Amino acid sequence: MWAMNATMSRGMSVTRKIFQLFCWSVGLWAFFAIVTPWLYDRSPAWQRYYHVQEENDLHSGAVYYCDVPVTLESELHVRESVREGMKAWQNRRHGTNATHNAEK
Amino acid sequence: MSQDNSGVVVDRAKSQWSDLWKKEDYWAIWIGFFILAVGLYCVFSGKDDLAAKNAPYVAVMKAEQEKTSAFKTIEWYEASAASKAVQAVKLPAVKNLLAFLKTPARWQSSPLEALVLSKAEADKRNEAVRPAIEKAKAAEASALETARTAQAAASGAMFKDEALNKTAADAIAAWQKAKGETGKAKKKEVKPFNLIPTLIGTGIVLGLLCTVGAIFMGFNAVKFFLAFQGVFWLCVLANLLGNQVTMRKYGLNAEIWGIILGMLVANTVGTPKWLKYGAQVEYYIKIGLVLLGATVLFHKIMAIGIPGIFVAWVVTPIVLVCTYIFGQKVLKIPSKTLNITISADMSVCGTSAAIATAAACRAKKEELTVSLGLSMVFTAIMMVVMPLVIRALNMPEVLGGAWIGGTVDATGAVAAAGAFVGPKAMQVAATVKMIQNVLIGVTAFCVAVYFSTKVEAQAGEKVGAMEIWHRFPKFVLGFLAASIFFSWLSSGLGSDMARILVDNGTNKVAGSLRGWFFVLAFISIGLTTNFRELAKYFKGGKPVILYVCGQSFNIVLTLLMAWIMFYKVFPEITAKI
Repeated sequence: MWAMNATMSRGMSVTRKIFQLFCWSVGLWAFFAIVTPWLYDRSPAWQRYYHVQEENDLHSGAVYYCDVPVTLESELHVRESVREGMKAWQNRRHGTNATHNAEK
Repeated sequence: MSQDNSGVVVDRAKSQWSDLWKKEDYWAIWIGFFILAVGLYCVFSGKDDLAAKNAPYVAVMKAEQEKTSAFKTIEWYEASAASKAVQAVKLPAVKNLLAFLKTPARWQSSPLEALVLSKAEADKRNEAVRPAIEKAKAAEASALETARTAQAAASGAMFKDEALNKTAADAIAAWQKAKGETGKAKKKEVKPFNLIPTLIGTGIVLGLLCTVGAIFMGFNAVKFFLAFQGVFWLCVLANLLGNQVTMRKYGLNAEIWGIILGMLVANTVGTPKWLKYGAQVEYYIKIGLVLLGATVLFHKIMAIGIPGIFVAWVVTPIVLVCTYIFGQKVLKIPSKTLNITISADMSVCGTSAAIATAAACRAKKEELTVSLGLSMVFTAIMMVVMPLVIRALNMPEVLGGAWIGGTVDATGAVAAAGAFVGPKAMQVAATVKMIQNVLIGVTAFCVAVYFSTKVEAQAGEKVGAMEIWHRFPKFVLGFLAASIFFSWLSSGLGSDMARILVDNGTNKVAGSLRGWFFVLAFISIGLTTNFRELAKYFKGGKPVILYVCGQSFNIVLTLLMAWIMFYKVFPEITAKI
């Protein structure tokens, strides 16, 4: 009798756990497949944001710079700009110093 | 040691020679180094061929630059594009290796789309995008024709006529833009694939690799291998969910899905005992971090010059330290490891920094989960709100980009938020974030030293060098060694070959495998995490308050520093970007 009760309660417990898993899965599905698309449709900012991601082939969940292809391209461009900018900055400084010295 | 050791991201013991083959810290280093050695061999075996292929393009670019400094000629751009296409990832060995490590592809309605794409289906999709490609190609050809005419006119005047030079430069810029549009249209083309055999192969190879270490660490080989397969296929499922188009919209990646799936199993039906055997959080995290080390390249910090250093390398440590002190002195957060993990996650670069810091300070896996959860929620808010604020304030793109790059946590979200503002903002944001990414190495090392010498020491106890060595998480040394070696290798190659062999070679191999190991670690975290355990960390809302206060300080300080550096001290750099 006791063994039968234990088996039954184990069976109930397994059923409950599977039911819990089912409920959570349905809950997650409802959240991601119903609630968030509903919010998305009502948020122009979110829609624009997504289009920008698509246009630039970006994944906002990327963890590291190597996972973002646009980074390499940006680095090359920015490095070149910085090189040219630093030249201009040095010219300005030297120009300022030269003027300062001449005034002295 | 005062804290309980269960569930920490890193374990600790007295150091012995046998640790070299018995401890997971060292096995993470050996496995990581083995993978990197294979990657290096595949990439560098084609070095001479790639160098020979790239040389003529470099020569053309140099000759064109000498011809005129008024603008970059069509020939220069063509040679530059051809040079950029020379990449180690196109070498057969590297290509095959990367194809082997591929995660499920992007999909919309059926998960099968992510695993198999038949030739008929690929042809059908390509047929649909072909008109757009043809249209873009025609526009590009027409723009090129206009650019050639304008360049010929400028060249006829020996590049001395300002007006002709400007017309040519504008026409060439228009052609480049049209070329970019063709590139975007072409990206929609697909090739047939079947990832099922490669995924099975990846699971077996990674399983064998981890089992070798597991045997030496005292695991049962067969049991571990089988459990690893279970964890691996959950990892495939997490990757599938992370690559679903709608999930990508929300920035939900495979790592987050790993935790969700794992916790779903653990807190409903319960993690089966046989599967728990393969859920070795620390082992996978440490291997992933050693691989991450290979992509932490120190010479990258100069990418955006002195302004970038100030925005990313001065503000970030100040915010990190201040947030930690605020958490300890004002909020009185009981767990120092939780405090530092949230602080690093928020101030450095989200997930990757949180993982490295948690491992370096021996945080509990629940603390890492809390930190990632906070980061994910606030990133989702900031990546949409910050571009809106920048636009509303009519802030210049460069300033907005630097602000986003220094404050939004997740690297992918930074690029996306920057792109929302504009192309310049995207470039600056992505570059600033890349520099911040490199800070992970220094952060992990400093945190490991601080926790080994100060936090874990008893009050008044003087810690000797040997004691520090015993306590120090050894995998951090592997992480740093990989970082220093690859930084040295990359800077020694020169910018062109570094781009070809490291950025488009070893980084890709290390990055793919790091991705697999991180998701394996997050699945394992989920499989061994109890919801109730997690809830206690949110008691009093202290982690949320810490994050909000730290991030607010970060937002103000980064904006101030970016404005001073880009607009007051180095306006010339800003003007050129």
